This record gives sequence, C-alpha cells and structure tokens, in this order.
Amino acid sequence: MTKLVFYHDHAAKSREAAEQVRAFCRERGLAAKAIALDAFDIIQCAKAMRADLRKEGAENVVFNITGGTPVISAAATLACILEGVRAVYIDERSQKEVRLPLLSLRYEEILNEPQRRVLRFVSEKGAKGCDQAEIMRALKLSRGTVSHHVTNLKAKQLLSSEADPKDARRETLRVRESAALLLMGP
Amino acid sequence: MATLLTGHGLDREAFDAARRLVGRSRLVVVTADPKSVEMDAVRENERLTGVDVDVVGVDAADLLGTLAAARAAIQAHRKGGVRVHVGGGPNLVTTALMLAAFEEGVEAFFCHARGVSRLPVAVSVKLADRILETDRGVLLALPVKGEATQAALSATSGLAPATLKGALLRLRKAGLVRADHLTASLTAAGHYYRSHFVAAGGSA
Repeated sequence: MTKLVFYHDHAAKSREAAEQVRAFCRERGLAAKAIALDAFDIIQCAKAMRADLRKEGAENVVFNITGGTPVISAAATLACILEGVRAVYIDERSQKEVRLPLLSLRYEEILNEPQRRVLRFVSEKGAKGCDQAEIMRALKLSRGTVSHHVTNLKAKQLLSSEADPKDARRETLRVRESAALLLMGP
Repeated sequence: MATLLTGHGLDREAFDAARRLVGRSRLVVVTADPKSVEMDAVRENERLTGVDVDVVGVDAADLLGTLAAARAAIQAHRKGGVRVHVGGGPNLVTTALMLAAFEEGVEAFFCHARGVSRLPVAVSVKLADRILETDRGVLLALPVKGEATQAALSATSGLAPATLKGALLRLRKAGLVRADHLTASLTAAGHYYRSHFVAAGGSA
C-alpha cells in the first residue's frame, strides 16, 4: 500500500478517530487522506467516492468496505459495483481479507453506446424533460430507433415518462435521479 | 403488490422506514436472529395488515452465504415483483442485499433518516448476462483447482485458439480469470460466476 484514503462522517467521534488514523499513518511514513462525508446520503457519498476512484485509477485501488457507518459502507459497495473496483472486507472471525465477487467492469457498460447517448441527452434536459421528437432531432436518429431505445430504458427503470396534459400523444421523458449515477463522465 | 426484501438487525430506524414507505403483499426479512422476540412482533404486526412474512436466517459474517440466500429469495418471488431494501441489517447483510439486487436486476433502494434513495439498478438486466456464451464455456472448462494450459482448454472447450484467446482477454478484463500466454486459472470472482453457470445447468 502506498496511500490510504478513508471516509468518515462529520460526527466529533469520527473526526477524532480520523485524526488517530492519520497519526498512525504518519508514524509509518504512509500518505493518508481523510474525507468527511454527509453520512445520510448514500447517493452523494457514492458520487464522491466514484470521483476519487476515477482520480486514482480503478486498477490501482483496493476498497476495504469494512468498518464504516451503514451509509458509508453501503455507498462504498455501490461505488465499487458501479466502477468495477476491487473490493474487500475483513472477515471478523478469521481476520482475513475476503474479496467481493464483483466484475471488474463499469456498470454503465450494461447499456450500449446509443442507449447511453439517449440517457445523457434526456439527463441534460433536467426536470423539464423532453419528448422523443427532440431526441430524434438532436441525436439524428430515426423514430423507430429512438422508440426502441426509450422503450428499453423505460423497461430498465432508468427513464420515467409522463403524459403531456395538453397533448395526449406526447409524453415527457425524464431521467430517474438514481440513473444519473450511470452517466458520470467518460 | 410486490414482495419487499429487507435486512434487519442493526438499523431499526431504516427497517421501520422501509416498512412504512414501501407497499407490499409479502415481507421477506434477512436476519441473523430469526427467532427473536422482535421478529415475532414484526410477524404479528404484518399479519394484521394482511402481509405474509418470510424470515430468512443467515450468518451475518458470511457474505457469500447471505448473498446466496438473498438471491434465492429474489428468484423465488421474482414473478410477482420484488423490491430490495438494502439497509436495516449489519453492514455485510447490506452489502449482500445490494450485490443480490444488482446481480438479479431488481429494483433496490436505501431508506434512511431523511427518506429513500433509489439505487441505479438496470431492472431486468442480470450481471451474469454480461458474460458471453463463449466466455461462459471457457469458465466452465477451467479447472476448479489449479490452472489449465491454453492448449488443453482449447481441446475441452472446443474453441479455436484465436477464439479462446479473445475469450480469455475478455474474462481477464472482467476480473474472472488470470491468464498469461500459456495458462489460465479462475480468480475468486471467476469461481463465483462459474458456480452460477453450473447451478443454471452448465456442465462442470
């Protein structure tokens, strides 16, 4: 290990523990970085962790999910699933490291490139959303292709749709808040 | 109405929030303490509102065992719809429930003091589906212990050397095998997915 990055919440007890970990690492000449997170919001925690994982390079990281608060530990697992990062926990009986059975592939690759383009376009429209005609024009895709991808993304529960009260034939599409996590940059 | 699968045993607030916020016709509780007085109270409480309760006892220190139990519960109730609340239990139960939801492609969320966060699961897409048929064949052809030469693998899987090389590259990228230019062996994740395919009827 060349560097330790660890996450904790804002509670005084956690800050104190973080300082002890930093001192422990200093004594051993190991670089350490403590990051305080809002430990109530799993999605924000996972976003922050993913950004850090991308900065470090997934292949250079082992994420130990043991020991955090329920939200921080769950966010760590989520970040590892989404980024395909090696994740381990420490078995409390044997005190041995156990690897989680994760694929080393980014979860967003579960969607093909055209699906990601459609999802990204709708995401950029935010709360206002858009309809299929706008997607056709912007992405230069045929009606059938857009319809196919929209149906698929709705079935995966990544897009939501709402009938337009002024025009029953038109539906407004929006990206579900959780699905935005699949669109974190390249 | 769907089945709600939830952890239990550490975070009572999250467990209760999930029961308060999520409609269900059946509640499946994954817990390390299935015979507790608290679980009796949950059963009684749910019965009054016409909800059936299944309690799945697990060893909360055994991730793979808990994961297998959670996946079995999802598969048993998939037809009527399943939602997974990944919280409520000890951290390792939460991890197992989250992995199970992503592996099986079912709706998942996390309840906490401030509300509900939905997780970005692509519903109906199983993680194992990302492994191509050819690559599954290679996983099944690999020995459970030790390594195999690529020449032997080519013979047992019936794949041409070039096709085998492509499959091994993909499997290595997915973290399922270790492979050099002569030999290949399963990683821990490779063993796990291989056992999925064996259970699904692939020959070992």
